[in-house]
Amino acid sequence: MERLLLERFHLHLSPTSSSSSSSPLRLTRSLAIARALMANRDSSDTTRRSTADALVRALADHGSDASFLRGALYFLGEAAALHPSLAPAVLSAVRSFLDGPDRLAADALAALAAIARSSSMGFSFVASVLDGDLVLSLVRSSSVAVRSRILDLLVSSIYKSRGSVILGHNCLFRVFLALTVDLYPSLRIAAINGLIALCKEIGADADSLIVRCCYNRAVELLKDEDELVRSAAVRLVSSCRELFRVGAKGTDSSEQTELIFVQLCSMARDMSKQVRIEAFDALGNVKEVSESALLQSLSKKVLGNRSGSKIVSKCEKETKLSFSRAAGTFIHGIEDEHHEVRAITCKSLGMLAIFSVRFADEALSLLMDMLNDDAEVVRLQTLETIFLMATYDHLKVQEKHMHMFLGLLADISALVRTAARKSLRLMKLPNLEIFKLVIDGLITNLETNPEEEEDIFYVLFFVGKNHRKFSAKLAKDLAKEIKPSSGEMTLDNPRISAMLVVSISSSFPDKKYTCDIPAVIFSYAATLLGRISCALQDVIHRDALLAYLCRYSGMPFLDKTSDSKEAGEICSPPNQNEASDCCKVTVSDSHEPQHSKEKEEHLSEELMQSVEVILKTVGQTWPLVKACRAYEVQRIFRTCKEELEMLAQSASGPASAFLDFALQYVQVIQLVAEFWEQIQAKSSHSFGMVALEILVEKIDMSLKRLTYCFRGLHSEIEFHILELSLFATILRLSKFGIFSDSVLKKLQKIISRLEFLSSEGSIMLSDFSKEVSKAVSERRMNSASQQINHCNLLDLFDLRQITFYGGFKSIKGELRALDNNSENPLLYISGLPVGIRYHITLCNVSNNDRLWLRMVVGESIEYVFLDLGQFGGNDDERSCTIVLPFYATPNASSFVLRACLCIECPSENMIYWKENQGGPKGEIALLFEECDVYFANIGKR
Amino acid sequence: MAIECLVLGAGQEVGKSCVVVSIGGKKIMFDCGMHMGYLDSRRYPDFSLISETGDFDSSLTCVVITHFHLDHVGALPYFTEVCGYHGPIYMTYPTKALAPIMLEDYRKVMVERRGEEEQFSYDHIMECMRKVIPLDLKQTVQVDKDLQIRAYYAGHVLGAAMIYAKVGGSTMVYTGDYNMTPDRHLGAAQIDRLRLDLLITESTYATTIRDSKYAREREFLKAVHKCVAGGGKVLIPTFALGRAQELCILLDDYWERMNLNVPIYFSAGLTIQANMYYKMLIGWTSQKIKDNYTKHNPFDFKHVCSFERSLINAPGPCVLFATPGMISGGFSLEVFKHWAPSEKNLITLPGYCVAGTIGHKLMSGKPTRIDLDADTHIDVRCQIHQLSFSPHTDAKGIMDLIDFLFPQHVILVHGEKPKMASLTERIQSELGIPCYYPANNETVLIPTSQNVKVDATGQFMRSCHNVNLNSIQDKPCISNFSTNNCEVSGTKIDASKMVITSCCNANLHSTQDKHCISNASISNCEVSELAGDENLTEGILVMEKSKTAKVVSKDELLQMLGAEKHVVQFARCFPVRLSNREQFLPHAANHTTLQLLCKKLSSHVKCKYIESFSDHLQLDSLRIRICSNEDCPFRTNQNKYCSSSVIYFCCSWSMHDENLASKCLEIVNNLDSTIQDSNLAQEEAPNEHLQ
Repeated sequence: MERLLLERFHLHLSPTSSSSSSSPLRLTRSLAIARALMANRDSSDTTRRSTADALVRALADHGSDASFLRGALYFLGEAAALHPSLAPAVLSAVRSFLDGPDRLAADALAALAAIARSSSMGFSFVASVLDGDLVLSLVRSSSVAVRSRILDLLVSSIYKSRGSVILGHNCLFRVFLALTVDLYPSLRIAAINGLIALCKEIGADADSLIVRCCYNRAVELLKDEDELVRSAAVRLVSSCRELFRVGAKGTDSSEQTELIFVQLCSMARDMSKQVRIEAFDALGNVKEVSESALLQSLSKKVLGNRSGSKIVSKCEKETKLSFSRAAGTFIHGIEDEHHEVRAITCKSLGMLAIFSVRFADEALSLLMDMLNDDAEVVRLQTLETIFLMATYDHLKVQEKHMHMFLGLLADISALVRTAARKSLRLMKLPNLEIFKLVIDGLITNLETNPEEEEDIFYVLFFVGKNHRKFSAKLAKDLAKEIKPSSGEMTLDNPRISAMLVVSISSSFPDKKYTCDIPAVIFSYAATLLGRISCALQDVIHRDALLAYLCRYSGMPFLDKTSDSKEAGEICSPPNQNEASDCCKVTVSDSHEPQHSKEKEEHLSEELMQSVEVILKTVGQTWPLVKACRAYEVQRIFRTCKEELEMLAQSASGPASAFLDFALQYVQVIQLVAEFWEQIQAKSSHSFGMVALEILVEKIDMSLKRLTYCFRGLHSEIEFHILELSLFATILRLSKFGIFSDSVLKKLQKIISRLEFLSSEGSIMLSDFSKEVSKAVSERRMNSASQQINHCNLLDLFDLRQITFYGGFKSIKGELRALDNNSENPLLYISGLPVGIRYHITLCNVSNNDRLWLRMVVGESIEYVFLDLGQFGGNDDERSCTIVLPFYATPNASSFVLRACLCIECPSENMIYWKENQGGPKGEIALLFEECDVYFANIGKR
Repeated sequence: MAIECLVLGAGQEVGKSCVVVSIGGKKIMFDCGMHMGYLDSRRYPDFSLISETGDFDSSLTCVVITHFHLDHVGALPYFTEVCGYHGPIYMTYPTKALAPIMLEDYRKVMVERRGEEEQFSYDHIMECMRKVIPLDLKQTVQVDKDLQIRAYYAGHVLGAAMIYAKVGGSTMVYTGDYNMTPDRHLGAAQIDRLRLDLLITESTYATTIRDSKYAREREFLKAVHKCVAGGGKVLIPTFALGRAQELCILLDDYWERMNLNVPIYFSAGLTIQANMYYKMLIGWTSQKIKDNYTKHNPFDFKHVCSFERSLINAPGPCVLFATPGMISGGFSLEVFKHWAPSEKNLITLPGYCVAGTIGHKLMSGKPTRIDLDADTHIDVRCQIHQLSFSPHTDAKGIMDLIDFLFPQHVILVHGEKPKMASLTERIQSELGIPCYYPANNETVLIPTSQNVKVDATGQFMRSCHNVNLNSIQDKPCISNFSTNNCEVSGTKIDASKMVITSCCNANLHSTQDKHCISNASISNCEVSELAGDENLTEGILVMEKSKTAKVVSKDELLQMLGAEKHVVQFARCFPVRLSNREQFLPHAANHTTLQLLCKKLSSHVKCKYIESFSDHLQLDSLRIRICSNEDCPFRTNQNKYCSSSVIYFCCSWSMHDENLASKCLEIVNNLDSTIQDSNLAQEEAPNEHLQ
């Protein structure tokens, strides 16, 4: 087929052929064929090369046919992008068109761009054919297409070309600067983006004159008629500012910064939403601007202290800007119609609030209004800003603000509530009234959203701890309130429990205030130990908390050891940690309270320990196995497996993969032990040969599953499994004694892999492996039927202790036949195919894996390849419901089909491959236990 | 050409907006409003100033109405039906829908309640509305061959628009009323960056700078909440359209959030009818409403129900919206009478009340007793809250708009005179834009830059993109352009080399330098060249009889004229005496002299490319060679010197290198400083010679 196509392709292209169809049509067809040849995965390299070469030649032959040339150029670019080996030939062919007519030059550039995009090497290829003069002439072309394409190429060259440069940086600057005044807005935008990229790329090394040029041009473009050009220009001004700042190196650039600040402020009043968003974004990034400028941007009235009309001027371009231009910028920002603008304004306010306390103060009253905003994004952003201000200690809340703020604790969105609490945790509350307000707000929150108790307790605890005096006062009031004499008190009441948390926090961990707080509080709190410790688990360990509560409540506490531990266990308050990484705080992951994630990790650590113990036990049984104490050994293995299964029930995610692996491993050892016992037994009558074979198959399957169904195994574990496989193979040999080539190959393969691993890492080959390797190489040397001394070898084997490092993924699958059980069989007509609906779930299967569905009825086996493209979801978990046909329906009144999911083991191909029988080429490992599908013959029912 | 702007109304006052603009021979009337303060002839604009004969159809090209407020549309039925204007009228869709409601409501109040003489009838209104051509936002309407108008979103009220008008090269914007900050139900004004000759803007708040709207909202809500929490009744006298919806959305939202159950009432049918229009015209409301209305139309008020008279004295708190806004009569007055005596109740007043209304009385100080007429007195004990919501932009907004559009001239209307004066001052000093605020019936003449349309050939356009780099490669001096008239093949052509400022021209000539490609650093002077603002393209303007003027590129001209290329070349051959000429070997003498000269020239002239050949030197078009021809036609001062120590330099150059040439010639003359010849200093006319 391929050859045929190729021949036809050449025929179409050859100028001499006298075909009946007209020439342009033939050329177009030839392109279509070329496309087919190139796109087909199975085309050979020579075919591709010859196709490309023929097309390159045709470019010269059919130079007059513009439509063909354009198509061919475009195609060649794509082809070279797909197969980088063709790139050099294509590039040299395309190169000549760059000097040609505009249209072809544009297409040639498109081809170049395709090659440049395709691979990391692509760009250097392209750079090799373009020289400075050519690029400049292209840039000056009168065709827009050419200009825009060369511009794109140049812009992308800034990011991509490392080492291979088409134009020097200074020259690029000139080209971009020149094109920023192009007639077409899209070109102007691209040129500005180029300048921005270039500024970023050069960074501090930039020539200050060039930066000044860029800046001046950007300022001109701020007045552009096109809104996208304006917004790009704002970005350019912003990046120039950064360079000015870096370039100033300590010298005073405040005048310049202020000028830019005012310029950006005036852009924030632009009519275009996009420009405003960019402007506010840029404003947020301005650093070291004077406080008076900042304050002016918060007030619509022109502030007097700069005498109203203070002019910031720059001699060079005679830029005169009145300071009043900045007036009220942020007020306009938060009043904006579009929530995107409001959100970014809030963000910028927060970033600028770091520099000035007064600014932060005034900005806060603006921000408080934004807490009422109807867009959730804006509310969240506002809370984040407040949190940022709190971490920099620039947050001074007043009573009038508090109402607004606490209103958010009743917000409809859980995200907003969580974010609000997060800010509360760091707030400094000026007086007792506000403190009480906050506590009441949190209690109301607790009453309406009891599911958030954990986080609310956590926040209550910190609020109490940060304001010890207030919480001590509260504790005393509480003590009066909960006198047992009243009789009606229930600790279940959210209010009481919340107050208790606040009360106990006041003396924590300091001992100074303890005496003030009635002991009864602590004894009550002790009854809530479970809930409180759950909320505070990343602050204090449960035992330490209990000790702390018991000590102050005057209760006798039994465990003295944990008392001494207490001081060490109590962590420092999280403020410091959070202050350092506060900038990274993102709203999205505050959704899930932080500590629940930590809990999971904690759990897996616990789990690791218990698994380690189990594995240790397994390792220790080997001497028993060797001593053939079957009964004891099997009992040990059974308990180990049971324990692992129990653990697996509560595990999820990575932990479950980990347990899965451990279970499989124990299973293998158990099987090996069983086998070992059988062959060591002096009389083999207890087990038939068939049973042994089944055992061997089982071992094989389990080992394969260990090897292929887990990703990211540590090399030490892989090593261990390989040794086990080696051992299993030798075991098998020793019993069945068939020493075929394939077994030899397998042994060699395992050994070479072992040797490779040991050469890479620090793992030593065991004596057993060394001996086997020696034996195998001897056997290969003199291919005589010299037998290997199995017994000696087997005696050498010793089970290593292995340690697991979690972090691997287990490839799992689940297969279910839908609407089918033994009561409710599928109907079929014998001899005709029948469709079965399966629901398949796959975990951690990558796109490179080849998966099969095996369906077995009696002797007939049918494989169906599963196309992962049909599955929805991501690599972690994908699933789909598909209908698959089963062809070989037997002539019976009913039958049971066994279906199972298999994964093709990539490295063990060549063994089972039989022709004419579809199915996997290599060995397979089962992903899930077989599932039965029931059928009933429609005629015989 | 000039724009003539006749202010018929709202000049130095608020009311009866009407501006007639003549632009490029077209006359457009913007707005046609009535003054609510007068009942006599001053109520309407003085239409006779447009046309004394009353033939408005021929004198006006079109009428454009910005929005449905009566001070902008009130006089329209009168103008069309009574005065007899039959030309096109433009307004936006919502304005077309809402204006008749407003007009009819007004007519009813005037005729039925006050018993005034009817100025126009219901039929008049309907007839007038039938002539209206609706406009959509950003839709360019070609009124006639020359006049284009386009509407931009103005905020203010539903359907309010700013109008852009263009005739030929003259452009202007009439803003009508607008708001630069969005409110609860309308967005902020939105306009493109246009190049304008004239901007006519309202200036209601010419000196006021308003605070953040959130503070205002907070205050209002706090007052209302406090009142209803105390069991009081809140009366919100308001205009049916606009503010009522805004306040209602605000309250409805707040009620939702605070979980309040106090009823909110709407008194009149007009408001409910208006709400219906608002619900239909979602596209003209603010972004937030547009985003959300599929989920919940904010004009479907959850807590709002209609009011019945019997509810006035019902116990318990409530909030009531009642018309008219300034408690000048009607239902709001009736309710006021009942509610004012209780100190638990609250009356909110709009930002602006006309003198004479009860609203105005309440605003100015806090009266305890209001005498309605001789027999009726109302004790006022209730609380009073003044609203500061306004749909007009504040001074900062006006400045922002002017700054954004940056027109050549600004005219202020719709404001109070002293405030307008101070804003005018600000605009002129801060933005440097000439600004006027004419009184009613005054005319302002605005000069506009005159643009002449010329055609351009394709080749010229291409040359705009593609600077011919070789021609301007590092010239020592770029020649000035000069004008000359020449007679070629019988056709009189004014061929002037002209400089066209073009924005599309890539200023690339410096990138052509060889050293640049090798990425050397850029020197100071080159950078300033790079940053240069203007890019020059050379072309030739050709004006032929009865044809549009056309710009062609240089190469095309000759082809067009069918003429051959003529080059003006100057030449001169003059002697220079060299004292040490005898030292040179005879055959090498000329060459060495040239070498010497070359060195000298390159040290004096700022030119990088002096090419030295065996028999001549070349600097751009200047060519210097040593002449041995005794009969050289360009030779001067032939007989003065003996030939041994004197050599003749024959120089030729073309016109555009004249400056360079004169400089170089001087250097050549002074090649040997020992020569003392006064005759040489004498200026000589260059020989003109056609090649």
